[in-house]
Formats: sequence, structure tokens, C-alpha cells
Amino acid sequence: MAKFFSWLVAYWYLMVPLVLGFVAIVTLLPHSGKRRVPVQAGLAASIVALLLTGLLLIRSSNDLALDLFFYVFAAVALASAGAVIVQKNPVYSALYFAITVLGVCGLFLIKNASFLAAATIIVYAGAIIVTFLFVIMLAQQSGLADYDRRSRERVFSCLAGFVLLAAILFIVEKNFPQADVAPVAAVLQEAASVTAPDRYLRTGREILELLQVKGKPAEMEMQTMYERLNAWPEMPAQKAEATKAWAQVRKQLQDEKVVQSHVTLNRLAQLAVNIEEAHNRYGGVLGNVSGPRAITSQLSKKNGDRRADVVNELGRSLFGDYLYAVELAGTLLLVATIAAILIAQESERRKKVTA
Amino acid sequence: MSALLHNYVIVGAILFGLGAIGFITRRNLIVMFLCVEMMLQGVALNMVAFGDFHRNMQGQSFIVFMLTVAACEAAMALAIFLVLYRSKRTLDVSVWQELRDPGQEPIYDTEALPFDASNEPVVHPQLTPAGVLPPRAGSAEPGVTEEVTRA
Repeated sequence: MAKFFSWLVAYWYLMVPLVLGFVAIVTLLPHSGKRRVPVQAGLAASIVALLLTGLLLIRSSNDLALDLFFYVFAAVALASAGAVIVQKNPVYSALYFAITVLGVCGLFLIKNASFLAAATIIVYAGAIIVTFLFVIMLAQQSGLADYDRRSRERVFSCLAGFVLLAAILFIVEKNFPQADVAPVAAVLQEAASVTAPDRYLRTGREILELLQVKGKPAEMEMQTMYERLNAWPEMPAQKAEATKAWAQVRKQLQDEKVVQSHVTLNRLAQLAVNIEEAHNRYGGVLGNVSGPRAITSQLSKKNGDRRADVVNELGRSLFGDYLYAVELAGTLLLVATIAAILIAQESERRKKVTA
Repeated sequence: MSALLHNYVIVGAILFGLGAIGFITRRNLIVMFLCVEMMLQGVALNMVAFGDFHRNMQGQSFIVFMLTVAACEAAMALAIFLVLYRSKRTLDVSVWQELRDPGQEPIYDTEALPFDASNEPVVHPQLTPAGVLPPRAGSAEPGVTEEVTRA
């Protein structure tokens, strides 16, 4: 229990948008009782929840244009996703779902998936939405049905949904920890620079006192970072190296061997930079760290073929790596089409066909 | 390309959660189905982001298959909805209770049926008005055109 509360305190920034979103969805869902909270309050709560999500949960990369596009597409997708589930009229739900798909396709485009973006728009926004609207028109000739005007157990089901969401977000935040390496790296770099052979002016004890971050020893800060990031494969080796280097530096500085400590301090500064690079690589900033690598299919990798064209590579992947699966998927589509026609037939004719 | 993997996972999770809520709480079969498709979109976002992260095509290839299966699923589901509507004249999901296991108690709706429908106007989406109506066949003054105010 105590652990749970300490988690809540540590991840407060998850809870704020979640609670606001919960209030917004509960208020806006169709229900039959009297509206105790006006619709405007629900709308305001949803807007604030969306803004707080962008502010607290979404991290910025170092590319402003890309971030801007991400924010716009993500906001469109999430806002219209909320609208899908709170709309009373299923026609509007279907149209808002088309907008969600457009937003998601924008996000696909940012992630190098141009073919998929086009395919998803054609398949979903084109075909599936039109079919949905067709069925809605067929099945709902006279106004809204009463089952569209109320939702089942809206408070409890929202609670269940948001608890699920909170669990997922907790896990995500736990596995993508943010490491604030900059102060430690700065302190180490400063210490390394004042111990340089031509600038040897201070005693070892003074330099030991320099190695502090916010009143704590820099060594401890670095240790906690390694502990938070230890899921990443290269971290344990680096942690061992850092522990050894720290012990060495402490001994050297206490023995006033300042010139010798310069090399070790430089190495520690490099290790701190390594933490930051690993954090960027796994926390998300990809490509900048290891240089641009082309996205390749397994076929191209085997043939040593290097192309950067994503559509080309997707084709090679589908018709090279996954040829059997593509054939199976085609068969599945054919079977499903035949089955759908057979099911949707009037029962008299169906009897005749199946007999 | 340096869009953050973390952000994609977050947005995908929120889409998935919203879809789950809609699936549990809405009664209309079609809206429930839309919510399932929304959950699929959240998963697809994760696939694309992780495929880009690992720099291979597996994520994107998987989504192509996901699209295929989703299309099949939509075709089947809509056919079933049509059959159901033909026999029961409703798209309420509670009708499916008749398929429950033997010995299972049915769930009755304790919530009172709402209101009279008259004070809740139904608004359907409309196209923007454009152009002029052609002359009606039986109109009194042939050739007189009528301004379209509403499509």
C-alpha cells in the first residue's frame, strides 16, 4: 500500500490528465438522467486534459517542426477519438472515426510509413466508413434509438477504462525513464577541465567538493541513473566501469594525485555522455545518435542491398519475407467476402443456396 | 527522423483506452465496432513506431495484415448486424443476451428508459448547399428556378 502511494506521488503527472479525462468522458457520455454537470464543463475538462497530456506526458525531441506536426496530428486523433465514443448519433461517430484515422495516418507519415498512411486512408476512411454509414442508414430510418441515448454503467466502465489506461501509462513511464544527465555531465566536465595539466591550481580536496550536484555527491546521482536505466543492454557494463572509476578518482584526489585523476575524470564525463546517448536512443530520439540507417526488409539485408526507399522495402518485405502470409491473407479476404454475401442474404434464398 | 518512440506509445495507449471505454459502455453494435477499430488503430501506431525504432519492416508488414483482417472482420460483422436488424429491428447489443449459456441469468436493465424523444432533436450531417435546383416537372411556372437553401 505504501509502495502504491509512493508510486502515485512519483507519477503525479500521469494522474492529473487521467482524472480530468475521466471526468470529461463521464460527463459527456450519453445518459438518461438529469445532467448534473453541464456539457460545457465536460468539454472544458476534455480540452484541459488534452492540453495537460501534451504538456506533461509528451516529451519534446530536438526537432521543432517534427514536434509541431506530431502535436497537431496527435491532438486531432485523440480529440476525435473522444468524440467517437461520446456522440449520440452513430452517423457522427462514424465520421469522427474517419477523422481519427486521418490523424493516425499523419502520425504514420512522420514515422516513415507513407505507403501505410495512404493504404489506411483508402481502406478505413474510404471503404469501411462508407460501409458503416450504409449500414447505419439501412438500420436506422427513424431518428435516434433509445439505446443510443444512454450508455451502460457509464461511471464504472469509464473507471475500468481509465484504470486500464493508467496501468499502461505507468508501465510505459517506468520503462522510458527520463534521465537528467546534464548537471552530472557538466560537473564532471568542469572537474576534468580544472585538473588539466596546464591548469593545475587546486588541491584534491577542493576538486572533491566540486563534484556535487544539488548538494548530493555526483557519484550517487550517477548511480541512481544507472539503476533507473539498468534495463538497457549496455548499461550494466558501463555501470561497473563507472563504479571502478569513481573509486579510483576518490582515492587519487584524497592522495592529492590531481594530475593522474584528470584522465579518470575525463573517462567519467564520457560515461555520463554515454548515459545521455543511450537515454535518447531508447527513450526515443533515434537516428541522430547512431547516424541515419535505412529501414530495410530482411530480404534486402540478406542480399546486402541498401536502399532507403520505404515503399520499395515494404514491397520486398511483403513479397519476399512474408510471401506465404500475403497469399493466406488474400485467401482470407476471398473467404470473408463469400461468407459476408452468404450471411447477408435473405433467409429464403440462403436456405436454397445451402441446401 | 527523430520523432520520439515514447510519445507514440503514449498516444497509442490513449487511443486503445478510449476505444476500450467506448466498447464497454456504448450499446449500439455499430459504435461498439467502431471502438474496436479505434483500439486497432492504437495498436497500429505502436507497430509503426517500434518498426521504425528497430529499423526494419516487420512492423509495417504486420499492419498490412492487420488491415486485411480488419476489412474481413468489418464485412462479416456488418453482414451479421444486418441479419440481426432484420429479425429484431434493433441494433441494441443486449439482444445478443439470447445467446448466453444455459442456466445463466439474463441481465435486466434497471435504468429507466429516457424521456420523451421530442425535446431532443436529431441532427444529421448535411452537405453545404450548392447550385440551383433544376425546374420541377410539375411546377406551376416552368423555367423558374428555386434557390437551394438547404441540401
